[in-house]
Amino acid sequence: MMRHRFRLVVPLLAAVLTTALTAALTGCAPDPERGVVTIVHPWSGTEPGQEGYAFRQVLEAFRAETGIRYNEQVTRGVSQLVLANLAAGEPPELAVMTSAGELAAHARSGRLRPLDGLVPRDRFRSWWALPIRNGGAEHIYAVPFKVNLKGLIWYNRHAGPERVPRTWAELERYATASGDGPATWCMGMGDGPNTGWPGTDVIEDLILHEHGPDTYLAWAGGRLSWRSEQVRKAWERLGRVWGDHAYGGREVTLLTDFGDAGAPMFASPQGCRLEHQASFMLSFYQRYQNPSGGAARPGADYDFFPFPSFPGRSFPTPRKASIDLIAMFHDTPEARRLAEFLATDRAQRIWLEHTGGDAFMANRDADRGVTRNPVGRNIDRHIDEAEVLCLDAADIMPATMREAFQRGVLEYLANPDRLPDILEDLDEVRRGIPEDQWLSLSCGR
Amino acid sequence: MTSTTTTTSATSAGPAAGTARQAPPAGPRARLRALLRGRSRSTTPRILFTLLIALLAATVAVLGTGLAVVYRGQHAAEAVRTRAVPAISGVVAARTALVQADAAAMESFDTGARLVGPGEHFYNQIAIAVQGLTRAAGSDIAGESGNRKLRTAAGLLTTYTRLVQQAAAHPEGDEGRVLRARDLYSASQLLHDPNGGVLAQLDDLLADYVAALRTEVASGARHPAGVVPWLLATLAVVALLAVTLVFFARRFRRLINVWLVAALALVAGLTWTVGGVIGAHDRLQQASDALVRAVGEHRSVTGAQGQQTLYELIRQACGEEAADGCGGTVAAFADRVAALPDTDEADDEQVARRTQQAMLDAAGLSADAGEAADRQALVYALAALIAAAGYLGFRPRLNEYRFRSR
Repeated sequence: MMRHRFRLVVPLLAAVLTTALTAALTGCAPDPERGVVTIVHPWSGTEPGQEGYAFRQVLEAFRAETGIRYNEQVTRGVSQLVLANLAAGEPPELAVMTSAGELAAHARSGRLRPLDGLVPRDRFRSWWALPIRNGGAEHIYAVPFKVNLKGLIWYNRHAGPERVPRTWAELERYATASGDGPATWCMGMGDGPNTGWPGTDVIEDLILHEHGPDTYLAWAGGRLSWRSEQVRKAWERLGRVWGDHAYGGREVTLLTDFGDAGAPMFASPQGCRLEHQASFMLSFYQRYQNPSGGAARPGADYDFFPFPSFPGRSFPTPRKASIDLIAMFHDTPEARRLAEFLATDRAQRIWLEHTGGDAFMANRDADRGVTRNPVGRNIDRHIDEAEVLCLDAADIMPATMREAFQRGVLEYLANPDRLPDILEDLDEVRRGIPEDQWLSLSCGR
Repeated sequence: MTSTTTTTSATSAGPAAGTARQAPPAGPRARLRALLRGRSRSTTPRILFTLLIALLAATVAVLGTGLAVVYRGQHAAEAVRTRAVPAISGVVAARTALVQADAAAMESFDTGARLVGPGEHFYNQIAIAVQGLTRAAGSDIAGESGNRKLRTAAGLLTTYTRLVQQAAAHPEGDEGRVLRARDLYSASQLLHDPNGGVLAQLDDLLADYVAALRTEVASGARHPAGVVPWLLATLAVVALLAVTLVFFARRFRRLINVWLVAALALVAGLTWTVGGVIGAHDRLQQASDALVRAVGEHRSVTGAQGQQTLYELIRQACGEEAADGCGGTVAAFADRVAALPDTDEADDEQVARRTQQAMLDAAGLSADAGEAADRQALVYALAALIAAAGYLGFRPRLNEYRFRSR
């Protein structure tokens, strides 16, 4: 009977005790971040059509497919951030790099993990996967993701050249012709810690198109002096054909960010007529207005022509590209899964779909079924049909050389009279870099 | 143990036998009434024994739940004092120092002191910023995600410093002026860019730290998972003591049982002790709210003065022309500078002082809350005394039956 009398008290006490113990044992221990992968990349923007937005859609698809969560670190200074993290002994798992030279340096110093087997090489142009010889064997250290065709000269179709220059002589004549109209070149060197690269691009194109891939690669690989005739002439042309005919003069060129440089081309009155830039301008220009007040349309309102060829050359027409490479610094199963996913045509197509088909992906199958505008199709054709496709020379150079190159361009544009000193300084930097830090690459098809 | 044996045999005779002698009261309330009236003499020792066991168990529950409240209070106070406040103060100090470093560098270049570069004040402030970030890194309060943001900020800070130093390397004259302006603008972008600049990274980090602070404070001594079980257990002890006192009064004609009254007083003492921890946590909560508000205010410090000086430097590099004459990037920068709040260094310093005071308050109150929560020994002692007093209150009655059984 008594057992029944207190049967209310006992469960109550038991419940109180259980609750008390549960509460007492509920700690605040940090939740270890298992099942999470971190990627450092330079793509910002949260609005549809922006690169940051597009990449987030790719990462979301990865999360939906694998259940693996991701962390993004977005910065224009990926290289600097990676170096800082490496110095702290806490490298990111994956990072998007644009410099093959830096990639090779990291690979050779053992900081990168090979991705052999994760990158289906038959889906990429063979040399885009950048096989790097390390310790006697050749390994793949990066997933080629996005390609930018460089050395394009953009113009406003309503106020550009009446006839597109096909040769260097025609371009030089058009660019240096004096007149009261707009300046020839829209130029902006600014890009945070990487300021100066739009100028290095011009010098690279001049060397590549005038002297061909062999000379270009010898220079990019540290085997040709900066004081050589070929290199010096390219710098002089940068000053004479570009610097002297840039919108706003050298101050504006130096103080304008590359993303803002094209605005005067679409302004009224027009400020400049041409811009030497890469294929990503295809989407950049769409934020400007055409004469009827709508968004500028590729093909109808703006177009490009490729960097013109020099007379008497004995090599096939070369083209130049840069590639965004995804490298793995910290090997985890989650990082491997993401690297593998980013190499697929599906992942790369997601980017394309979210940038309106205005990007060019490394995986050959990525653009299958994607509709492009006429200018996009033309760029795609140039990439596909290029007889010789070379990587951006500054991207191949060791980081120290690349930075000095960019600084040199700024100093030259500020004061062209200093060219001999600048080239001497650059050559000193070249001579100071150990031979094994230079990357020996060939241009490919 | 005669009576016990009798009762057992009566019970073991089955429900029918019990019903024949006296029908069992139906329902819990009826059973409670029957218990208080002590209707069944033969069950008294069992009731005494059960009440005692229940009282002791409830006392253990009060001890466990009270300790849980104290532990939560201690844990929260400790986390706020040793992790959240140092992390927040580290990042706030770094942010303040960076804004001041930027202004100092621009000021130094504006006065044309090329030989001293960005100036001693710049380097001092950068050193303070690095120290602040190091202090924040030691806290580990926002987990791996927070550490990653911290590393990003530290990496960008290195590049920022390099760009400012680079600006000092250019020669005098027009050429040097424009290159210097370019470097300083790149550095400034890296610091102020709302999409991934150093200050934006630090703001993001502060948001994480504030969220972690709120979580720590919310999981403290006032958390319902701690307070509700403790209140229930305390009520159970009080109820059991009250029931026992009434039972003794009716069954044994003892109006007052001194030991049980003492146990009630001890329960009040224990309640005051644990309540003190909860009260201290209230003050910690208020300090934390003040700190969150101060951090919010601190984020409005944008270093407008440094930005305005930089714009002047750029204008000089462009030949004193209007913003439009210096290209689209400078024109957009001019618009951003014009839109900055009209604050000067003194305003920023005031905000910094208020934030500093809020952090000191939070640190002090978290230390107080930690000390207030350092009462486990008292909780143990009071719980033991309640149990002892309860036992002593029961002992004479239990002895009566022990003697009878002999």
